[in-house]
Amino acid sequence: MNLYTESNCLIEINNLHIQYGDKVILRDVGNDAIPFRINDIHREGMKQGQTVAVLGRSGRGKSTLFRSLVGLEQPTKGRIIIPKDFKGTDYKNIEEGDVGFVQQTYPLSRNQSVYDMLRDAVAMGDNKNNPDEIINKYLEEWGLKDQRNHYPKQLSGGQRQRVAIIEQLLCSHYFIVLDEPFSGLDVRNIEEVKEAIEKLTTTSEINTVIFSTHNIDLAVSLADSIYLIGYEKDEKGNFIEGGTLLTHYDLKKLGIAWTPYSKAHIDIAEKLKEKMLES
Amino acid sequence: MLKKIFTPFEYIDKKVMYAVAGFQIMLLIVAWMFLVPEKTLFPRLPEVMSSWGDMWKNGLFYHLYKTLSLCLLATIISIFFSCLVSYSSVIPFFKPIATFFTKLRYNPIQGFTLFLTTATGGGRALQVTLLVIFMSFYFITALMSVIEAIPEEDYYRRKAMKMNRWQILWNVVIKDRADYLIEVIRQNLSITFMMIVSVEAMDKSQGGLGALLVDTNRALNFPKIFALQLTILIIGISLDTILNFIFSSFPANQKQTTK
Repeated sequence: MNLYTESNCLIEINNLHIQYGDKVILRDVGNDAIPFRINDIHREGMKQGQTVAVLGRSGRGKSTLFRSLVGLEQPTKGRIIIPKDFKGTDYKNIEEGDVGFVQQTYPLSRNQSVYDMLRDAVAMGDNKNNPDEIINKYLEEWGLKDQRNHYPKQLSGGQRQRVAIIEQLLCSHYFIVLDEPFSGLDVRNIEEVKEAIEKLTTTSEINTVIFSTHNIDLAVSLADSIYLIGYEKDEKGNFIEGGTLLTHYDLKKLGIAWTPYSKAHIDIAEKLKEKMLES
Repeated sequence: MLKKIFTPFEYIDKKVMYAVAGFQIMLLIVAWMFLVPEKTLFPRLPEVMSSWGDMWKNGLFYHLYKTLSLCLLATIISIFFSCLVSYSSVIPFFKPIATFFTKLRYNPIQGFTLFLTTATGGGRALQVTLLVIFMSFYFITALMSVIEAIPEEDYYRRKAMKMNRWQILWNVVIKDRADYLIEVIRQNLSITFMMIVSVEAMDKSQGGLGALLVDTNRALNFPKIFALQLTILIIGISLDTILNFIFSSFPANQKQTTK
């Protein structure tokens, strides 16, 4: 059993509802039945961040939820809150730039070198002193030292993704949202992304990674908390329009977070798969 | 190899492709030299070359300079104006204005000449104004297509980096797509060349290849007409090659293998 404690809330979704005209995209996400609340986790003798996976079939509102989580989508109703300054107990509505966003296609500037892109990111961040030192430190840590003067066209998929992550890390606070980070990657690249997520969540107590994926096994092996988003059914068995949270597995409480993949993980994956197919 | 050259979708080595192109050009020259019958309206290659030599001695360079300087001046002004209109189209207030400009390219040039002659006083100013106006319609249309094709992800990335809307306009639309501006000029240069002949013909006293071509047409001097057409074609291809080289030198367009 992994011992841990939880303290203040780092991010919370309250009854989020997003609608375009008559079309409901997200419905009542983060309600009393299934709250979406990420607390600061503490484990003795180590820096432990938070890793949250969001699973769901295509077209169930995952991307809209993620855009909301980074402040790019304005809620029709409800809100998403984060701590105001990570010191007191004040909270504020999430805004653009509060949360780093690494998209599925990890777009980068077409005509800028890795170094120039990261310099722009430093200029947008809070710590603007010694940009060279900061950039070199990140490039070294993320294995991109040799790619410092390369352009996006010269980078592999994994390298592009790492540049996109560093860029967001340099100008955001502690949150990184990764939309489908494993999509279309080969085995080696998947391992690289897993390592990147582990690295992110073990470098600071507050660092929080929220990622979406279709790969249930990866979610179960990597996350400490898993949410499933999908359509609910009415009494007649018809889908109710608008994605909502269908279930939440807290792997920490189940005692299987941060542990090697086991029978318990497989059981959770099976349950999630079943629920996903119905949603 | 011969079979490959005539098979659809076959990959041909670059050197072979150049050889094929060279062979076709040679074939054209040989056919032109030996297969064109004498005493027809279609001039033979030696006649065209001799006319070209005569024109060079009689100030072709001056006309060439006049045409190129007009083209350069009009392109610079037009690009500046087109960028202003196109880039401002991302600001909601200016979007209808920019869209309206793209529709104006359906208007014929002739209807405006009298009005513009009065407004500009004719001469070089009229030529520049006419070219700028009509080139701009095409440049704006092409630049707006570039802007509309920018993926939403590029904007999301910069928004997530806390950039304000003006920084996003500069970084995503202008700076990161500067190479497309060169490509837009390159792709629309042929329209510029088509128009430049008509525009120069409006005021022949200003000189230029267009003015020379109209005079030569009137005299039915076919070897000279062909020589002039060839000159315009060679200049066009040269400018196209230079612009393509600049476009290809941007990092996003360089041919590199993924590491």
